[in-house]
Amino acid sequence: MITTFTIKKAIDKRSGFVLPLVVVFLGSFFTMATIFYLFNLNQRPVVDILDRSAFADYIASGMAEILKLKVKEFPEEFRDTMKLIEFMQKQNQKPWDNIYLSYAGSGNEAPYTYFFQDFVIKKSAFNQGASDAWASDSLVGGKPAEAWEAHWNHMLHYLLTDETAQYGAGHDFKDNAAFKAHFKTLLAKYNVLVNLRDVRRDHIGLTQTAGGAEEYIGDIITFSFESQYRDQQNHRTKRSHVVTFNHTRKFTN
Amino acid sequence: MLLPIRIITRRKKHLNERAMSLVEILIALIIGATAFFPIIKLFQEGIKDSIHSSSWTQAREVAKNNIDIVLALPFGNITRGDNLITDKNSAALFPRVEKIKGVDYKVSCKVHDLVPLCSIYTSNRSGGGVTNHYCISSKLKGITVTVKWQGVGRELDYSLVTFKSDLTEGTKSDIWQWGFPQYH
Repeated sequence: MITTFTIKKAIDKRSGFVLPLVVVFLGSFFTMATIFYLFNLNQRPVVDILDRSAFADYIASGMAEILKLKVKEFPEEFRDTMKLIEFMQKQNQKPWDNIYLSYAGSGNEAPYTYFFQDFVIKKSAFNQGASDAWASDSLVGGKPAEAWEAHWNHMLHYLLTDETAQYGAGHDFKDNAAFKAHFKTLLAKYNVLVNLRDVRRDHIGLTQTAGGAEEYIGDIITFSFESQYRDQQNHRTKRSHVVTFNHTRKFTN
Repeated sequence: MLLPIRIITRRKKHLNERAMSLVEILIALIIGATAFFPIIKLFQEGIKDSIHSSSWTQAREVAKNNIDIVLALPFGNITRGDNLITDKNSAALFPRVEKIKGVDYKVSCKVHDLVPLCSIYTSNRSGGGVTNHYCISSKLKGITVTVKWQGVGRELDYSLVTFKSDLTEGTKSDIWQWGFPQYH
């Protein structure tokens, strides 16, 4: 009886301090838990952003492969284009501004825009609405413009055209149409957009005059791509992708 | 038997003390349960998220690993179709299952044979120029690696897409003109 009385007395004495402490501690704990639960502050957005960045990496390296193929198949046209671009850059002009803005029939088309404009999203006449909406971050159907739409329209209508498009009848476009449908689904899922941003010739191989009739020369070319997608806060984020291409070309003496 | 006066007094004293009724206990329980609900959900969601994040991270790495394996193969081995890619020993690479931390990651690969369209500008000596459009055939493949696994309550999937081109010397027969030249 004496012990119980003593404890009770002791609690009564300290309750003025302990009780608010317990209430504040538990209250803040429950409040934090409620905030975390209600605002869904968990790891999922981080996972989503990593999925998108990995997807963008492979799309950019893939687009670099298409560009490598074009350079490989049309080395003279590539050289002529680069000479113009490099000349303009030396004159402090900005050739890439026109490359970004040009599309078939636009006033920005110039001899140096054709080679690379296929790899820039804001290009095709088919693509203006979607790409402009994306560029200005305007609302489409009450929500921010989707990146994939601009990309998909570009890839769909031009770079990977098919037999249903103009001049397509009678030609074998192989899996272009099937791939586009497949690609569209994935682009819509990850909402990633990849653009070519810069091309540089870091090293231009020189011919060996003492060589045979045909020689191979190595040029080192750097392609810079930029991907855009939305981050955890639904803001647009950018990622740079740089690909170096050791272009071996045949040279006839 | 009469109770001593001292005991009666003490009982009366107890009756006057404030006690917790059943209603009060029930209200306290409801408040407690409401307060604990987010905590329990938070733990539950935390565990789910942990499993989710871990499995997605593994799936992404599995997809990256497999697409890198495909990209390292000679162009000729990357056969058009579903799961038709073979390694240097002509053994099929896909479909395959990779088991990581008790989860089966099913990997498949789809290859599309693509014909890119390229626009080319050529200038002439009179200061004008011509734009031609060419399709490059048999030199580009679209590669998709998909990883599927059983997530919490449903099957999940992650895909990576890239392209691989044939950069060896080709022939002009692989390139054909699209449309008509445009003179400027």
